[in-house]
Amino acid sequence: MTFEQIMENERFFPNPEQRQVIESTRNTVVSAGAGAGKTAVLSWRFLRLVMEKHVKPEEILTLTFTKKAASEMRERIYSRLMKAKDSLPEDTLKSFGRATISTLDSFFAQIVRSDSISYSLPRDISVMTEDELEDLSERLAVRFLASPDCADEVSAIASLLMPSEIMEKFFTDAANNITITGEYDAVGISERFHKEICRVYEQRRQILGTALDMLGKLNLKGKFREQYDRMCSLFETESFTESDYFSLSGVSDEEVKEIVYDLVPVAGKDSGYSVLQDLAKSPVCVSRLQTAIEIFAGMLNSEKRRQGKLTFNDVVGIALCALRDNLELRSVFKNRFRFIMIDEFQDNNSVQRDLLYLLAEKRSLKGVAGRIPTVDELESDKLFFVGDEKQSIYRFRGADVTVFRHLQDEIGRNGSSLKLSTNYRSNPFLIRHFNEVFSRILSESDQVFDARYEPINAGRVVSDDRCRIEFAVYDKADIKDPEMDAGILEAEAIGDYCQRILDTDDFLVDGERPKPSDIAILFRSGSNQMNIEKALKRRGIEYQIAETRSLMLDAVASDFYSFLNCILYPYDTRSYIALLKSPFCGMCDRSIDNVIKGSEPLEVDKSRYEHLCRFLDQMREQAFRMTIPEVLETLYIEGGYKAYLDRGRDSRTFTEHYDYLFSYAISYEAEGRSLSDYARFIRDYLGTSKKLPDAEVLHKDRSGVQIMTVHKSKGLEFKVVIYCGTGSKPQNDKGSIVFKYNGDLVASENKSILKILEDDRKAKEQAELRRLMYVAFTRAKDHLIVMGGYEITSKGNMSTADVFKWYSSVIGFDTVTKSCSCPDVTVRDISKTQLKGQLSSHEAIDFVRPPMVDFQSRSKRVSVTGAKGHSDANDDLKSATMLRNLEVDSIIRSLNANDKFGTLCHLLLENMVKGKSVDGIECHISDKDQENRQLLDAAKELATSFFESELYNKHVSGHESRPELRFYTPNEDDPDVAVEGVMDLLVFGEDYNLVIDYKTDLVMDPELHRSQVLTYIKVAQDLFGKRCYGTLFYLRDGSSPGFWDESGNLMKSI
Amino acid sequence: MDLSIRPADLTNTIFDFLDDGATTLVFPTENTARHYLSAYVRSRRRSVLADRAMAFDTFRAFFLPRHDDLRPSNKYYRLAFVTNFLDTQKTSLRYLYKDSLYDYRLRFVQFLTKILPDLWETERSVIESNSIRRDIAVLKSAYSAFLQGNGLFEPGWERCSLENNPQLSGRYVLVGSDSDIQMQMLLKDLGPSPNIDTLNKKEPGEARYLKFLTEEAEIESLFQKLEELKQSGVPMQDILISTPQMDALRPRLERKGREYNIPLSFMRSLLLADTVPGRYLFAVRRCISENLSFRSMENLLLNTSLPFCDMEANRLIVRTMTDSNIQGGNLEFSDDSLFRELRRLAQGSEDPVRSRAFELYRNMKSAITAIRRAHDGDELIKDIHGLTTLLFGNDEFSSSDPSDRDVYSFMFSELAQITKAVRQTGLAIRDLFSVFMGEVENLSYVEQDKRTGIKVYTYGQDALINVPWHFVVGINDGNSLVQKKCLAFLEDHEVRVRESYDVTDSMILCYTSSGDNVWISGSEVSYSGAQSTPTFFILNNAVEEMRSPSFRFYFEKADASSLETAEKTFMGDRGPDYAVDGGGPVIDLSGVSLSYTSISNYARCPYRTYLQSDQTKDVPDDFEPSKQDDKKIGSFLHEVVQAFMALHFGQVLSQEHLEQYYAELEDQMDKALEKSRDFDDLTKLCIKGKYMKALRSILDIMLKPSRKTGAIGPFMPLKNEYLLDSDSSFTGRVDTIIQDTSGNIFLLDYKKGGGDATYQLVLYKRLYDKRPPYGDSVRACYFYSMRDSQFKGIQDAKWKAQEEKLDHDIESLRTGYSAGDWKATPSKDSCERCEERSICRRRFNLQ
Repeated sequence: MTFEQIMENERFFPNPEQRQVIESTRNTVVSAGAGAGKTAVLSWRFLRLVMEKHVKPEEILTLTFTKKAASEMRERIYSRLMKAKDSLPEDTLKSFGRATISTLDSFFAQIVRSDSISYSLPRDISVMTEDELEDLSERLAVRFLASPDCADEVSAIASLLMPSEIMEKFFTDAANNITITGEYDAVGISERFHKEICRVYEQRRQILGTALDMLGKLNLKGKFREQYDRMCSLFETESFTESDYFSLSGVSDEEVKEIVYDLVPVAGKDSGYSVLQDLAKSPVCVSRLQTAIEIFAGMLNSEKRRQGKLTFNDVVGIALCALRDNLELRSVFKNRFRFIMIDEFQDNNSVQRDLLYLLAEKRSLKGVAGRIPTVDELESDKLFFVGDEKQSIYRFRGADVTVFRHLQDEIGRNGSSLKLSTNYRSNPFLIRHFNEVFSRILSESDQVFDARYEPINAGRVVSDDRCRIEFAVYDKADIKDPEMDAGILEAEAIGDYCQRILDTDDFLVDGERPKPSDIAILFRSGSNQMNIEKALKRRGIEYQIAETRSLMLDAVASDFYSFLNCILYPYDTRSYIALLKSPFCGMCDRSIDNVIKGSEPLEVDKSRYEHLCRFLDQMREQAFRMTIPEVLETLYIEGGYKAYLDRGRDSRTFTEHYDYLFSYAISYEAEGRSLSDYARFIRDYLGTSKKLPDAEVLHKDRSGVQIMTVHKSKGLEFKVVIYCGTGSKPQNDKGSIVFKYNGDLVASENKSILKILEDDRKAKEQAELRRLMYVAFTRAKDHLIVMGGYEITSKGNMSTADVFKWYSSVIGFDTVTKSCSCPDVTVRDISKTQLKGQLSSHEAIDFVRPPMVDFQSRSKRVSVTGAKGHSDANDDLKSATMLRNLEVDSIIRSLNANDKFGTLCHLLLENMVKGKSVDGIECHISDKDQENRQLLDAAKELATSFFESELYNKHVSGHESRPELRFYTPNEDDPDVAVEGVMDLLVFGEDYNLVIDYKTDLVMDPELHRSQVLTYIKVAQDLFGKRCYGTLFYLRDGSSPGFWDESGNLMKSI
Repeated sequence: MDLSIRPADLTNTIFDFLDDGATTLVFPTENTARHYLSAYVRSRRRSVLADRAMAFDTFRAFFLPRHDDLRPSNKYYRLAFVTNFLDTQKTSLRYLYKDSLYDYRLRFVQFLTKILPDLWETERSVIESNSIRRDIAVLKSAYSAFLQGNGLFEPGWERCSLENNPQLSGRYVLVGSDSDIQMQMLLKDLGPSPNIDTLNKKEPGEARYLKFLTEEAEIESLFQKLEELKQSGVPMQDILISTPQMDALRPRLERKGREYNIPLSFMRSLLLADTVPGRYLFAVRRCISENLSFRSMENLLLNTSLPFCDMEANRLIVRTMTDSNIQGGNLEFSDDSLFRELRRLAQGSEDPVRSRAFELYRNMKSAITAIRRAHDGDELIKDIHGLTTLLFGNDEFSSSDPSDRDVYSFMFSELAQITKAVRQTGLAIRDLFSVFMGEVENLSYVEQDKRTGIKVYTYGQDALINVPWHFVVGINDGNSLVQKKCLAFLEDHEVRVRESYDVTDSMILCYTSSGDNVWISGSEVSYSGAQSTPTFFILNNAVEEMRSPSFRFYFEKADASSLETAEKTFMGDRGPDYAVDGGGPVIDLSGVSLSYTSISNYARCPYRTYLQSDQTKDVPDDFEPSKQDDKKIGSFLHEVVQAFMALHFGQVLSQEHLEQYYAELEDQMDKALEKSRDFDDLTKLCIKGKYMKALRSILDIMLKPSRKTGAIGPFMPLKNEYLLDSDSSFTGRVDTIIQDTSGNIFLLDYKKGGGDATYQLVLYKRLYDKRPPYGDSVRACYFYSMRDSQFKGIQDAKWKAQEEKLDHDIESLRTGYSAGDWKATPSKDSCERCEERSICRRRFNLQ
């Protein structure tokens, strides 16, 4: 079949844009909007390359942004190939395993490993997690702060921050932005930064000058004329301050007003013009903070090298250098792939682009070391980028949306710049709304870091295009209930919405009510997540979370922490009281009072108190012997906590809290950290809703309402999306004093400079906020609910967060009438939402203890062994005779090492019988050298005694023999059991064989070993078909008790 | 000859070979060999010699050359060689080694030590790069000379050959050679031999790949199946579990096993790092690498599984660090801050624990320093014993669990081997303890998990073991790869030709028929992220999507031991909970001195007052040295201002001496900082950097030229206690009382933060009015916010309301104390930062 026929067969009828993309034969950049079917298109393109261009799968490099996306892409492509297998060249499918379909990060890591030593890195580099980086930077920060050599820099930091802030506001941000390939010289950066300030100042000065010229040409009068003249003079002398800015009182000329208004961001209040002016005039100054960054970067990068652990940014940076500078390596990689496809490229930056250019350099070119190929030097049909600048939301990871935009122009010149503008995901009605909203919101700014918007088309065919778009709003002033705040009110409203969606016909999709898993609650940050969870719990609505924010605010974490702290710190009375009151014990206050004062608990609490004391003692004894997950699991199960959670529907939902604690315990254990580190981790977060490190908690299925951040929702789609928290202002920036500015890492003690840097950061954050809003909206397939609150200021203005402002202005929301001018959107006032009461977690405890069944076990193998232990303790042995004591007996006894000493003797004997030297045999029974030497000497003496014995001389010497003969034999009593044993020595005689078993016992008691020897006799006869006798040899005195025959008769001689 | 068989015939074919008496079977592992021997004995009811089925390693040894006069090299000899090589000849390596790498020795010692046994592979590979080729030649030649000079041979360089065993007789059958890389390599080395055959499965069994949505769903389904088997009486020996992610899945499998009461036995050696003595030495190493940081000391000294002989002293050392905000000791100097503090405590007290703690710390430091500095193995052994004896007493680990003792001895035997290797070669190893611990980190202790339970193997180890129920879980495209390439430490572009082996598919094929019932599963999303289906199953069209497996509810598998405890603890009758029911102890107010804090606290939450009044009052604020304690900083700043005010007691301050006052204030700050033991050096620096300006601005504002008074004074602090009425005693302390030149009295209270309006000033005014010692009545009261550098007064209207609230709160307190009413009054505001939240529990959703 041809490719066309296969598409037809699969009932895939690409639209013209999709066809163009699939068939593109040149370097291509595809701008693909949400829901445009890009994964499908990529997989079809892969198939086309294999079928029509006869490319092997391993010659196509397919890169995506996340591991999950890579995995999905791989499966999608594979299934596409599988379906077309009859039309593919032989072995195509078999070689698919060699195809590279991975994340950019892991592919770049592969490049780094190829040339790591050139970068003073070991070969076994690994990529460190965010938490690892944080840990490392914290340790280095402590070293930095304590170093006398850094005293000046530390003073500079200390003049701006308190100790508790220093880590978060200086070192963490610095560490996140420091790369191993970056330059951090304080002098150079200060010079560049000063130059940049001068440039910005000159730019503003020009605008201001032009505006003044324009104003000068107008007919200015009166006070404004005076103002203007003064302004011109200040402008000339470069002594202008914002407080000198124009006042428009009394000015009626609209043209003048317009110029003055437009000029506000340049020179008006809060514009920072005078700051720039002063800075530009002042000489270059190397800030001590800048030097601090330089020193810290040196420390951090050295440590990364030492540990062989890199950040993602390091990997990308080194990969770039490796391909750029090592022509041999570049040649290897560029020849390996004929085609390269990259998805989600909007979340990358110029370094990644350069890397791909290096991989796409024409094979015919040798390349120039140290230089990135130009577009003209690229293969003409190798690169294929897919992305959507509107969905670039990973600025914090270094994504630079401008790169994708420039790429469209750059590649588009010689190749193709295509688009996929049809959305097959969302209801056409929703798409109309997206176009209306985002064509305005995303066009408001013309900054280079803002995304552009082009309208999208509706591709989904629906029988009923009605869908709901609701704007759920509230005035914060309406909140009267003291237990309510904006977050709780929104959460309750979300609960009501979910109930309505699930229980009424208001949000039908194709005539059916959505299931819980069809609903997504999305937000920018999870600070209100706990309230949302609580609201859903109160309503009995099942939900699933992508990360927990409530973990450290509720009982489970607190109870486990109390227990752990009681293990670690017995003097922590608070934890002890908490433990006594927790489900681990459940004592009442009066009993606790008694116990704390040293008396007995009330009768009703006695048994639970005793139980806890025992358990606590046991845990204190055992906790450090266990892994951290084992400790938690023991507390969970044996401490009764699991049953406590299992008792009712409400409490059972908290099992997830335990799952998170358990998951953190696993990562702490895996990182080799201790129980005290783990307890500290909980302590640091307890009582806060701070974002916790990522945890690996999985659900068995996706069955509940999905609660997640917009970032986590990327790539997903839901029938109903509730986008909430749009009126909540982002929490005050943590106030970091380290900034990424024009590619440099910059910090300053000068507060004016900090403000300029902060403004720059905020502008970029706002642009990303708009894109986040786009991503959140476009996750909706059928219905969209946007939620948020506002306040009316004393001047009658609406005060709220940016997203709410943008959206309400686009849809024409009126706070007075609570209506909007956009006919598609229903405004719903949720101010009167009620708190629905507490959780009904007091369900009757109704446990039915399940019948406990133990796993059946049968012993498959048992060993044939003699009596164990130092049998001198056995006074009851009638036939026993004491043998001689050895000097080393006291050592053996103190180390409880009878068995080990016996094994040592056996080893020596085995070697001696085989005629091997025993010089190399060492003894490590004790941790003291002297004792080991004594034990070895004693064992040698015993072993030698065998060769001087009568038994040896009469029955062994001159005969063939086999020492340490291992065997298996069936157990006569139990067909399911195999017996395993070792004969110390089997001597092959002419008429009979003889089994000898050595004993190091202190007591001679042959009866004790009779059955053992009989088993040996039986096995030897079974295996060799010859009569066999058996005996013991007591090494301590060289005696033998006689010989057993197969019937168990003991004879003096044979 | 390859004896291909149908998958189902494997066991019988093996038994037939054992019957014939002339064939020796060779299995990839000892475990597999033992499994078949045992199964044979049970099935045929005959004895068999164990050497009829051997592990591959034993068989391979038949074909190795013999070195009667040479000893085998081992990792310690290699280590000694490499450390010496790097010290003396590092410049001869131009590609494989870079001394610009920070801490290069540690990194490269490990790297080079690891690659030495693989250097023989250069002979059958073509290395692309000249520089690598040259480096390898240099390294190999130096190592060869070292081996020769020390009477050693490198086992990794030994090649197997039939010529090494010309007497080989009998027939050997290598079972599962297709799925075992080592067997394939041997067969290649030996070439064809009439004595050696192979036995392999060639067709896949019927098992399909069960693909779950998540790994959690996969594990839950696995255990539900195991539960079914348990209920139906299948013995646990008839079940095996195998996974390529042993380390990652182990805790999760253990957890489920515990919940389902299904015991598991993990077939892996115990890592030394997971043993008690291992943890002890790692804790010592951490103390060294972190220079006795608080965390490293806490980690060592609070480990209750170690047989410390004086735990009280340990705890006191840790507590001293937290109480005195000491971030750590210092191995470089004998009298670090912890040393000084412990000495101070010991000298000023008769408590013997204090003296013991001081002695312990002093001796511990020198013992750890000795370990750190040891260059010779014997010396290091002695030093470790020294520290151990100091901490655990003369018995060291003798009184501990026998397995701890064994592991402890085992570690010393490893150290003894290093010492021996070093001594024999005449070389030296610097930083011996680090090198030793680097080795210990990767060492396993031979003792295996002896727990009874369903055996869990690492993927590959049990591929040939046939059991009635075989579960292979957590498998994906990446972790099922079983490959090897020669010179693996070199990248593909560095080696043009090299041998490589890939038995991925053969291994999966083996598993597909490794039991009467085989379950092979994986998931789309595992605990370590998204994953892909193994290509083998996609190619064989054997993937089954497990989209909606049904799961039972939790209580159906409620664990018995959990229930037993629950019945003893939170179930059953309960006594009163004061937070809910009230009815607590009555407190006689005549014996209590009340303050603003106690009144406002009781008004906020009586239960909190109850807990803080008695039960938790001596609890440490924190359990690690705090970098910043806001309460202490607040008190400290108050003290500085007070000290300044005391300098000018009764005087009038004037604007013209402002510079002098600044200097005095700074001087007071410096003196106080120097004296303070509450803060470390950094905090002191920050306090000065951040608050000096705020303190100055108090004077700026008070002495503003625009103020009519121009000068104010005198200043006086007030600490007062008085009876407000017949039975209640109140205390209060006004930060500063100012009398201006017109005789007006002002009360000031400094706040580190914003200074929210409360009735604190109302109470202070009453205090002043009740017993006015300084003359006129109060004109006004202010808070001074150090954060905002601003005075904040209270408007008249609010003053009145606050007076009423104060009266109300005093009355509530009086009634509540005498009635024993300690009910909690949970609310968003009062609970948000409440330290007693964990005891009260009222604000938890889970009750």
